[in-house]
Amino acid sequence: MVRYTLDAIGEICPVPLLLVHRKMAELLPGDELLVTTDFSRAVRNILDWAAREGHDILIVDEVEPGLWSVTLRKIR
Amino acid sequence: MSLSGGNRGNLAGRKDGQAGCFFLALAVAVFLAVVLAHFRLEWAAVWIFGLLVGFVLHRSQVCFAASFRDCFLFHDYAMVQALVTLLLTVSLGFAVLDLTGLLPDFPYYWRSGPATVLGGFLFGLGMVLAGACACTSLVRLGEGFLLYLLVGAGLAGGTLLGAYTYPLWLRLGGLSSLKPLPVAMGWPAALALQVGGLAGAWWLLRLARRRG
Amino acid sequence: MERNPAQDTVKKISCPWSKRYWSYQAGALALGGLSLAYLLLARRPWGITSAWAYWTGWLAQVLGGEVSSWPYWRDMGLTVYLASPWLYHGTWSNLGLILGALLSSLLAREGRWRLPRRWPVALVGLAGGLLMGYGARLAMGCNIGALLGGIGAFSPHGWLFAAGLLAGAALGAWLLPRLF
Repeated sequence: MVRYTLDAIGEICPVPLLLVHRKMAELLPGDELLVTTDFSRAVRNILDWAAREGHDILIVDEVEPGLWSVTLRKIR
Repeated sequence: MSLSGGNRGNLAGRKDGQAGCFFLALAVAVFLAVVLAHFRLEWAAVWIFGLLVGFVLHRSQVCFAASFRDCFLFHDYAMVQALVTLLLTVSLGFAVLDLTGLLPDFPYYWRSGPATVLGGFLFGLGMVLAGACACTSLVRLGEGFLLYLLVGAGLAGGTLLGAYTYPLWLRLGGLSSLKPLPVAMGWPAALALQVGGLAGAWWLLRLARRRG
Repeated sequence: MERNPAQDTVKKISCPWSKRYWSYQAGALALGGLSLAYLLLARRPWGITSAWAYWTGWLAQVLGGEVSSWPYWRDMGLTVYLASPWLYHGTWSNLGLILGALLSSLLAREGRWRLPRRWPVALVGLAGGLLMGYGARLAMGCNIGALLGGIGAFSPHGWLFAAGLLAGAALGAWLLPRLF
């Protein structure tokens, strides 16, 4: 299991999800990805996408006011 | 699906000045409402309307730019379905208001023609590039995204250019007033066509979302 | 779609009501109700970009430009707003929109200054703004004025706008992954 991080702070919707999309394609099943973003809509976009794709959503955390980190685990 | 906006566990009790800013902004909102009401009641009402819309758009995160974009980019039909819900609500409400005689100024006319389609095309491209449409740009600005100041400047420049080249589009013969559907075909047919079409689209999108 | 256990964990995360997202459907219904209220109040469908037109025209005049003779303003028939755009009620609904979103984000304690990450983001945003501004003048409205207001008032031009919008968004969705 490898843990990757993706810093998407300052990216504009839908670029955070676009980057997550690309990164997750590189991961192997079981790997985890921690994304950080300050775009509230992107958080929801990422969560909705992960749920649709069937990835595990491990942690959704607001690390600072208006700054979120989402940890996903690739399932397949 | 209702996902929460994130755990605030490690933020609880931290002093960050947000509450102070909130009350300051609230004071500005109330003060301006009073001042506007002093001049013209309509302005105060519209001001409060804007505040409510800003709140709803931020809380629900409805985004018009996302509606069409996410269908194409991520095969995510949730937002476009919400857009259809919005159009259905407004269509039905509008019909009820007009049929009960509450809209004395109806029908409304807009200049339209091929330029409308081109305008929609440019607007659609622009909103995907900017990440928000004219309306949600304002919401993003309220959220503190300084980029949307630049988008607003672009919007202003484009608007001025559009007003300047307006005679060109007139000369190309593209701008005439189309009759609203109820004037052209009567309320029953207009309702059947538009509300029926929207309801059909809503149901199709629901099917598409179920399929995943 | 099969459910995964983590999904339920996310749902159970406790968060105060001010941070909780509304469903898109609930937001759409609330927005529909508000726009109908606006229709009753202002006796015209709600719009965003007309206020931009008056303010930019006003600014161009302040800076010494001669714009009031443009046929556009004559046809809009509202040159009084060009001289003093603060009299136009759309100004106040737009400013209210900004402050309403600010209030909501501060209430959720997620307000912060957010800067674009890199220069291309800013350039693409500016280009997007220009395209939107020009498009909105051609179509006599934006997503609110032409799409919601137009279709909501059973005007065929709203559907024309929607057709263009769909094509433009498709091109944008093709272009965006190639830019970033």
